[in-house]
Amino acid sequence: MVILNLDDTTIKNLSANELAVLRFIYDNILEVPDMSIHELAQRISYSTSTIIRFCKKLGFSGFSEFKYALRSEIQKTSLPEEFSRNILNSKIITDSLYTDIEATSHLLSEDLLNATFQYLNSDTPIYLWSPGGLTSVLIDYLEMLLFASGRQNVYKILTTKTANHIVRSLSQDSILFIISATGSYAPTIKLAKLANMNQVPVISITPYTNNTIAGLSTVSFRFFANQRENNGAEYTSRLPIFYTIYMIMKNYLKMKELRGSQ
Amino acid sequence: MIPLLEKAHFAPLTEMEQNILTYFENNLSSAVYMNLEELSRELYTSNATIVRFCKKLGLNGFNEFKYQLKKELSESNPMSLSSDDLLKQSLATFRDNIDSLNFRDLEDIKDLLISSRPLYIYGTGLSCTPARYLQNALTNLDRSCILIEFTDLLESVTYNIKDDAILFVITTHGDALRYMQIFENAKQHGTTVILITCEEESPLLPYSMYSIVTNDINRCYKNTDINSRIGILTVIQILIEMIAYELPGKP
Repeated sequence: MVILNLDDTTIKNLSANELAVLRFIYDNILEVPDMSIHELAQRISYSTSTIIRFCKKLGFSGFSEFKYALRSEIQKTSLPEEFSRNILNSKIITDSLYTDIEATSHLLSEDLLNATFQYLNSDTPIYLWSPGGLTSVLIDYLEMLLFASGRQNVYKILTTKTANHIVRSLSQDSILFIISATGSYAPTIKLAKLANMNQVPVISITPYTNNTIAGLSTVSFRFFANQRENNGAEYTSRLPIFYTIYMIMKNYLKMKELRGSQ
Repeated sequence: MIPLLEKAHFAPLTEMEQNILTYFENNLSSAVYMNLEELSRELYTSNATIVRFCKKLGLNGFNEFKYQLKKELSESNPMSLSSDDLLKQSLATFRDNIDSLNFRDLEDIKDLLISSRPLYIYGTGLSCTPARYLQNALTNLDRSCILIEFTDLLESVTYNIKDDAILFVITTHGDALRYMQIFENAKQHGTTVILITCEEESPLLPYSMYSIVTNDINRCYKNTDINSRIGILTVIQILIEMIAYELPGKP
């Protein structure tokens, strides 16, 4: 582990972009000393001035000096210093967590929420597609919160075959609720297409990237998170989706309380 | 009563404009979210008529009218927050929760979670969401663990639990007494207990080796628990991120 003049104060002074630079450098520590500033800027999609600002905040005159220090630190192969490493990790973790949530929160417009409430306020049956794995935990969460806030007619679908069967025969007066952490899971895409063909409205929560499911949805919530997997076992953070569900339900309850008091 | 609509009663309105006013008075909460086209369709009138109505009230157009109306609506009912305020407020609460966490404890908890000791994760009711989430994510990160969603089952497990076991308990419950027996069993067996709760005064805290208290608020809607546990879910996510950092290939 290379330390590079990092202490708590320095790290706290870094902006979210600069932290992302730092993170990239740590993830690719052996490659960076051989990169030019333009190559690095291209790889991380930040401007060269962000990189220079980052180097200056770490106490270097510019990128070249930073690279030099990096190279000599790597050669020293100094022992990991647990403490500052932990500070760095937790700071990077919480900052990127917060950045994702903040960005996700900005995508939650009043129009999206109100379009959703129109459906929630009706008696229209809501079908929740539970594809298994981590995403099913989200569906269960949504289901419980819907029931707890007094919404009836919520039906969970647990298998692909059942889902195809049900959606094929759904009337237009129903809603299909879809959550996809990747936006690219084939059975979920197929289901969204099927609903679309039958003109069944779809409410979805999908990544901010261009994805088929969002395009097929009547109401499309988006979230920010990096896609991640461990040799095929996917563990993309679901927190932004939890947060989206939480905000939908919080606003929904608020609206119900307001109506009740009118 | 909304001052803007009250004022409208004194303006020289045509019959159609009077209809618009009546419509807003009767459908206030939904009408403020309609756009011009929807409203003119609903009222069988033209966009121009509605805009003229807004101008008679001294406003530039329909959007300004809606904005003014929403503003006065939230002022007239201080309990109500606009969804924008609610978003900002929720984001601030989210940040506060992160800032109040003790990362030294979280580091220790992470080390326990990645050890090879037997790990039981417990959560029931809405708390089974964070419990399931953690169990699923740990499994995908190659850490096997056991999920328990029923209190009785948890209790029976603690009668025979090993001393090297780790018990990860998520509960927001004010009535912690129902867990007393379980925590006493765990203590007798020398089991390491990690408690995640939002109850600052929880009587279970002294029984736990590590405890994290989040800023979630226990809320009920018509006597049903509706605490979203977003603070607890955040803690779980942070732990998952910390564990992911330990994966081979990471610095």
